[in-house]
Amino acid sequence: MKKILYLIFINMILVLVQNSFFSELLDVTFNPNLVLAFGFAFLFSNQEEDGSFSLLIGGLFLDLLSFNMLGVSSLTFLVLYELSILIRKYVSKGFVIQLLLVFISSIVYILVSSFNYPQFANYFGIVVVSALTTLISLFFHFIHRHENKFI
Amino acid sequence: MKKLFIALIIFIFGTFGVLSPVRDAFQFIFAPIQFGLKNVALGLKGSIDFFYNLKRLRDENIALLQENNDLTSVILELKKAEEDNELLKDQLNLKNKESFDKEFVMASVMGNPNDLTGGTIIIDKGLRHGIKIGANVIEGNYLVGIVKEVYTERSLVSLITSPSVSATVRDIDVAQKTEGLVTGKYGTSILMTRILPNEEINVGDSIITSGKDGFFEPGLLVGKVVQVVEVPAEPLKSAYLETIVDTSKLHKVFVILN
Repeated sequence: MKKILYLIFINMILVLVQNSFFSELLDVTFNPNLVLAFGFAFLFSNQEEDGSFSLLIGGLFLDLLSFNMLGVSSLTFLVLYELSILIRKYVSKGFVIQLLLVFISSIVYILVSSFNYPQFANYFGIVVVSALTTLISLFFHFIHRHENKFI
Repeated sequence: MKKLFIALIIFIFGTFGVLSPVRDAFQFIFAPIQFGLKNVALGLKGSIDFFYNLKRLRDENIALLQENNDLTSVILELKKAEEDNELLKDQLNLKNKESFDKEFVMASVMGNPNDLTGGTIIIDKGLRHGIKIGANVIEGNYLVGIVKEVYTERSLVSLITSPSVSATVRDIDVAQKTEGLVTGKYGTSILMTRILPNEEINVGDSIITSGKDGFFEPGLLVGKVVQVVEVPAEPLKSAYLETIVDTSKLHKVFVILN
């Protein structure tokens, strides 16, 4: 229960920071996806259940505070997450492969969530955002390694 | 897999709008925090910009002081003209007719994190405040955009610089009132097309909405002409405009209600 409340609280903070703070400070073009980074970081630590719960809640919060169709973020996150788990299970558990999975998932999510808006070949922005998300995911992984001591 | 199923259920409910009241409540509760964080970010960004551009700001400040002096004298002249104008309007019984009886609602602006093109913004007013789809969004007399989607507490606005927005316009600085169609080109750039070859348009001219499209109120300032494009092989001319309002730095806007 303590862990669930912790994940709900952290995801709420991450969504507010991502949608309101970073989107203004870094511009929407270079806004990293903190929710995706946080959830996928559990994959590195083999805490798959925590990761899927985090992505479900984080995705829901993201949609509630935006103009996305409700549930589209959670569904996209979880489909990508389950695919990543399968790749880890049957292909490779290598660290680089896992980073690549976060990177690709971030790109797919951007393309899905910005489906309603005209794209003007800002592929550079998409790649930069995904690279940033991957790096932040790595940072969250190191936090996840230590958080169990405190929760 | 269980969570994937839950996400699917939420998505289905979301598609049919069953969870819209939850979204409305959520947005209502978190709006103050979101806009607070946005203001903190803008403040921080402003401080970073300030130190980064200190030299340029100093030069700009000197130029602005000079411009301020010039404008003070212009304001005095305009006040005199305004008095004359009021008298004339009363005489012609134009007051309280046409565009003079519009109602506005002021709204705070937030960027749309899902739109990487920067062609839309989110405002903190929605259905509850009387906003409807198609309402014009302005700042002063400058056209900012048009409301595209409305929820109870928020609205999505397509900016005039977005390629998905088009408006019929006319040039107020030439005698023949050259007409055309403007479409956004991202950033602060707008393209005005369908200008007849014999019609006059010059760099620096002010372009306003004509209202003939039925979507935009007439007389709203769209931008100034920065470049006129004439291709001999093409029958019509076009021109590039620059918005006077920087749509990326909007804080407050007004939505025309009626």
